[in-house]
Amino acid sequence: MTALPVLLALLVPMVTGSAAAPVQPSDEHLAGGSEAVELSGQEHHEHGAGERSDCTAWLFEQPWASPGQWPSLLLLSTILLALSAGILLVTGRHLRR
Amino acid sequence: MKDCALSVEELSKRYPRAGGFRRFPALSGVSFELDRGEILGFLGPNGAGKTTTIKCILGLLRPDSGVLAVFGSPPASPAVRARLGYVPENPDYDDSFTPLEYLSVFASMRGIRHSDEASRALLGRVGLSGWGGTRLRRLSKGMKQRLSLALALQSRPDLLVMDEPTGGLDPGARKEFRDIILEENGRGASIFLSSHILSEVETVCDRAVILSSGRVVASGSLDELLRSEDLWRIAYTRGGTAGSESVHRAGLQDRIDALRASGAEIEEVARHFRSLEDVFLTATEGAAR
Amino acid sequence: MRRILAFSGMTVRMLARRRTIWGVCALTALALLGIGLIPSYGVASSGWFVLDLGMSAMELGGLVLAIGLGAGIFPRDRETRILLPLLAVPLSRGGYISGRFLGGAFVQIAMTLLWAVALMIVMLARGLPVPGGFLVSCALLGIEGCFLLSVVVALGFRVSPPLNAPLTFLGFIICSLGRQDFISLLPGAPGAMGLLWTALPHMAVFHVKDAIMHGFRVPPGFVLLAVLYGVSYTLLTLSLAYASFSRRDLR
Repeated sequence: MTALPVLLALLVPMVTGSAAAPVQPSDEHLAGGSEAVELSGQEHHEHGAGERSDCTAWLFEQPWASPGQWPSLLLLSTILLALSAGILLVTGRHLRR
Repeated sequence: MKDCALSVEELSKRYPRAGGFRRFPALSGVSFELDRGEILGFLGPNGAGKTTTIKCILGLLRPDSGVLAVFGSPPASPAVRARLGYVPENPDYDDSFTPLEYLSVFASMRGIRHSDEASRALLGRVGLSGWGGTRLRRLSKGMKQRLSLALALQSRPDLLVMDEPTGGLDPGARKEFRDIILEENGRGASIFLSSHILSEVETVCDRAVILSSGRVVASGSLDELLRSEDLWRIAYTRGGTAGSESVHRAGLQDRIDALRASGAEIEEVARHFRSLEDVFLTATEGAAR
Repeated sequence: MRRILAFSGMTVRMLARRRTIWGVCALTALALLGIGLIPSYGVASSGWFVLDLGMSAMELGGLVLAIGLGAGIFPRDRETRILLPLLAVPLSRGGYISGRFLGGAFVQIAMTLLWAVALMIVMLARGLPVPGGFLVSCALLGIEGCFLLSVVVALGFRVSPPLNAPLTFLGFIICSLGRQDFISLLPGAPGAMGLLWTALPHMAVFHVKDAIMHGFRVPPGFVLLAVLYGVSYTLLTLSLAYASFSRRDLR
């Protein structure tokens, strides 16, 4: 029975998206801080390579860059493998009858 | 259960009608047996359920009810399948392959040892000498049929299931097929032969089962089927001239007496044998009525 | 297992002799050549631009190839009636699905590898560096292609090839959507859509090209996880196909 809360705790972040929440730009970023270079107008910035910002959020939200999602992926894969084994077992047993 | 090669008991199968909920019966309580080392002819008009029965035997169709056993085991079991050979009706294959490639792949899938020499010898046996390396797109329908036979014979099966194996073959090829069937039977294989060609069944089979509208309408040894219960043939000579006539059993003695009274000498009184065509037409027409 | 491998070998030979596969291969090669001929000014002078276009072409090529390889397998086997002697004697139905899939997967992976080499040649010819992790990224695209192939093969037991292609393409698009985009398809039921999204396979798991393009190191643990993810979805799809096919009457 203890497995259920653990399962939910791992899967819920994937469903609700809390593990991959949109990156909120910092105050410093919005104010055009020291790391940002203003090009034209207030919305245009340039960031250093590999730096996380509102413009690069899509990159850092990808699964390879979101270690928070990995346990869920692992759990999901395990469930799918178990499900496959179950289907094969039940089908095989059904055919033997 | 009797120790036979194939046992079919009360086999029933219904198919859904196109576009409807009702299902029509393709097989209704079909029962028969094929003893070890026997050749059984399986006859019936188009749509009688012959191919459905064969597909049930091979595990391609799941019967709705009934019991099927091949060498005493369910037909789907791997041990049974290893002892089966199947010649399908009008086979077609991937035409980019050659007969030798097919034989090689089938041998690997069956887990039997394969050599090019053995494959070429097998192809020679079925009349495909010299065609082993030719792509199937260049082979005729009859040649593909021969390849089917080669694939079925490859594992030296204990039970050979043949679905219209000589359909579309010329008379010479039919004779070769018949000879191979007899050779295989001589080796000890049991043969289940579904055919439309009654003369073929009459020539090679020990027993026959006649199917009509999904039911067995006649079965037995060919001797039993061809022998008429009611008709007898009287052969006689009168005044140096030979003659014969057929009479019903009820009037047999009266007719013999009458012939003798007319000065005829009775040479032979024997049961009258019908042709398999007569038996087939009588049985299937009777079932249709 | 030897029987299945023998049958998959036959499948590889069968597929390699079809025109479809060579058509897809030629189209993808043309696309890569086109990418190689993009004038070298502006953004096109950056290695990541060529890499991004090239790997996107590989992914789409993989999808088209999976459809080309898998959609016709079962319908063609039924049409030519080779299915009956195959299933009647030497092969079980599970063996048939496994053999056909393994043969197709071999061709899919071989083609992905071929395209990867072609893209590398294009990049080197343009004097662009091939980033570390490039082959890993291509391998994950190969895993994605194999999963797509399993979907096409499974659908092939139920639908005709002309319907199989658009269904697979639609599924690919849906599985490429992010969570928010997916929920926005039916905003009235965010909970149910979120749950459905969780259960769907996500193509994004196989995409690490952005990482290697921008010089990030992809953790080996994630690569293994992505492989496990792809394999588990592929196995589930094939198991469902087996469950459906094994109960099916072959009239």
